[in-house]
Amino acid sequence: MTPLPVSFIGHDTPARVFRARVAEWGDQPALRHKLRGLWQSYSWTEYYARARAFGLALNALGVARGECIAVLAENRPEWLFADLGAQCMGIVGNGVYPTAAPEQLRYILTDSDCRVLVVENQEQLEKALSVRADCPKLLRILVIEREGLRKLDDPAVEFFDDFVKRGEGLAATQAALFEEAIDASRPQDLAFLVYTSGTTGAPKGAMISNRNVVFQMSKAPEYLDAKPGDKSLSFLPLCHIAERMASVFNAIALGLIVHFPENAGTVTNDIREVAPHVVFAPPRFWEKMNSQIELFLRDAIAPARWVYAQALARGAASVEAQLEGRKPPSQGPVTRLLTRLAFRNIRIFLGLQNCRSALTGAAPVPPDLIRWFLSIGIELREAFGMTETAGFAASTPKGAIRLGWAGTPAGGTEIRIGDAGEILIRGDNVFAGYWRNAEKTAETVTADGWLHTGDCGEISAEGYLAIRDRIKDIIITAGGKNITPTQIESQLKFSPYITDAVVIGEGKRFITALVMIDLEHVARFAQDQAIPYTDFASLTRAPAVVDLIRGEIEAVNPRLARVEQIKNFRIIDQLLTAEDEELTPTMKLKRKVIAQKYATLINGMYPS
Amino acid sequence: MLLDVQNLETWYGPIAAMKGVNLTVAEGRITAVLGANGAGKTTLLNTLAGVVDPFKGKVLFEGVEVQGLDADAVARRGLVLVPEGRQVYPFLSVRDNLMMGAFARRDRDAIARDIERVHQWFPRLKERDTQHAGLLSGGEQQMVAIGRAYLSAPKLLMLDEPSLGLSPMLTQEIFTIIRRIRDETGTAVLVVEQNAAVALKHGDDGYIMELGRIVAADTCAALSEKEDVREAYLGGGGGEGLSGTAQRWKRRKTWR
Repeated sequence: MTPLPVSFIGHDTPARVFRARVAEWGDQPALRHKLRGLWQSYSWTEYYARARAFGLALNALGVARGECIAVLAENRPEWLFADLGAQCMGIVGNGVYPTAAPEQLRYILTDSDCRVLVVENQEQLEKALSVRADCPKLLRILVIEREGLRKLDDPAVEFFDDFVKRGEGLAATQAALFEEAIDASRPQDLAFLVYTSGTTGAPKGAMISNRNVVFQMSKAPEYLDAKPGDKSLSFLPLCHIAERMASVFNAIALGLIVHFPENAGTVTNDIREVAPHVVFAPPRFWEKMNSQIELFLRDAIAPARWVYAQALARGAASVEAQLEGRKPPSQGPVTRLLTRLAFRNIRIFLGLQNCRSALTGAAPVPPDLIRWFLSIGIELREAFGMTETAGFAASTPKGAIRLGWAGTPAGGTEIRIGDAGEILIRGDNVFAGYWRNAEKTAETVTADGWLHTGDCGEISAEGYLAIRDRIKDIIITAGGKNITPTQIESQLKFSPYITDAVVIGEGKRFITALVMIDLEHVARFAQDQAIPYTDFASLTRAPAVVDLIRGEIEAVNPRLARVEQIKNFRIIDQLLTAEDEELTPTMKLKRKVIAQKYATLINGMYPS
Repeated sequence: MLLDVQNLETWYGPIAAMKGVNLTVAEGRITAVLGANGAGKTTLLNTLAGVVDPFKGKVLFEGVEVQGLDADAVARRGLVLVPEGRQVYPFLSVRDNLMMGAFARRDRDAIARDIERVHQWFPRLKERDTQHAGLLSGGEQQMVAIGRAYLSAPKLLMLDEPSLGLSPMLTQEIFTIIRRIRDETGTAVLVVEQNAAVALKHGDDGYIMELGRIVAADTCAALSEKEDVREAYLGGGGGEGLSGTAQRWKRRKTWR
């Protein structure tokens, strides 16, 4: 069976789409990067020239079609130059989390037989050098920032800008070579690798083909309401599939100007400054926006609090109508005024005043969060996708939010429910398998093209998909009840004081939870309430803090079925960072590791 | 506890310099507070000494609340500050400077005995007894400042960066004497320092402050074993890196 060709604006590989877009948009801005407080702009032509220079220099170095390169850097234009430059030459792109520990970097470099590694700065270079001895295939390390490296003298390490400059020299004579390489690209070739964060076992390299990418680009206008010149902010890790699609390929598909913040710490300010039209972020990010406003208003003057409370209360009916698909009741002039007073400023404060496409996914979304955003006039739509579907597989259509449902399948794909309620997906978004891991690939994608997502869920009569949980995470209690922990955890996480939680109860008589507190908000609470503490551990042990968390849990319990209710909990008394094995690079608690590491804490909740 | 600080909060206009600090100083012990620039260390001492009034929180000195009292009232109770940058009276002689410390005291014999003690600790001050304090070296001025504070008969001596501007050797010397003061007179010491290596070596209990909050608390010996402390304050962590400094990767400090 030969698959039908997939194309977008008449081209069937991302490299060709990119070239066509550059020809179309030429001198219009494509990327903006904030450097020392000033925005630097790159046009589409410059973007292409840089990518071409990088690609030609890779070629001159002897990196062949089908081999891998990788980028270890925070989001910045150079990331994209390297990634697209390589892909245009038929070289496979890859990204490593900037927070990765040296061992993780070593694993990815050796597993993918990486030929060239682009690193951000001295700090990341040190990481790369410490594992270089184990990576015989690694030809060259390219460093983007020169700071602190004046004395660098290593034949296998070079600066990124020198490398690109050499490529620009080559472009004068070999530009045709680059064009030929783009012409030679085929839909079935690999575009890039995405290493799955690996909550269990070693990470696996998911292979995303050109065909997957082009299919996703053709779907971008379906779920994003954007036109050329609209802005987006690139602040999630680019090595993650969602941000890779959003910042690289959706931008090419729709003509978004991608903005790169100065650093991870300036995102709140940058989003306010950029006021993006398109925002995709996990629920955690949106929750932070919500709790930021709630806490901010706690300190606000009484009239401001009154206006906010009134506007929320008066808007509630309209929100419910919207959610049920009815026409919202007409509002009186007072309500309209209050709404305008309160919510317009909140939108501006959050940098969402231009936002027409707000999407979330990757974790369960608390219904109250969506209600709140609807009240302030932002339609926060849920989407479902995974690395193995090269991005979105289902998304909520505009104006048709169904609380608890993640949306309808992308056009041209099929979703059905298999054994044990598992969600199965078939279509051109299904990835090309795991890199050099035929066994895992066969476990994941069946011969007839169905992807086993490992998630269980259901499909409504309307065709909406709901995700319940990872199948392997489902808890069966001693009483034989099936519990979906992720749903409970997402309700807990809606509390500003709880960053993450792990629900426990496999084979137990009742359900308990381990809670990771949000240091910033809890510290502030402690300060307000004059609760004495010194370090993190003493904060988690303070009786008032334990009571606070108990209160948050007791607020969630009534919304849960009796068997799901959390009977006891413990607070994790260590401040965890992305480098700790307990957390994934995206700061989620790893269930299995937590269950092992905190076994004593857990057992303490189940007296025999 | 000699000193018990509870949720102390101090603001400079709209800026919160201290956001709920909790700390204790036990009798006869040296307690060190470490932290980078702007962590709020000096604010802490100034608030304790009554130079700045706290916005919130309690300071219990010998079980009595002293927060918000005037600086002189606090000093009379035995909570004495050696300010940052020494601040001796340049045109007064060394002896007069020392006597300024005893301004509030009437027990002449005891004052004479204390001056004798100061001269034992700092023989240099005896040699320069009649010189203007402004003509002394930085180290000598620090000695004057400590001696002056001692003459007000402190129960708790608070030192704000005694190592400021001193040579490493002189710093060691000053700290050795701080220990002698504790050993010989049983005076408790609360010292704020940037020079973490020295402070951790000579101190008994330690606190680490960051952005107006305490982030770690332990004995100095235990603190110096913590990886984050070694990396951030003691210049430890790995061998030589490419930039010539110690090799380190930026990561969030957890103070474990």
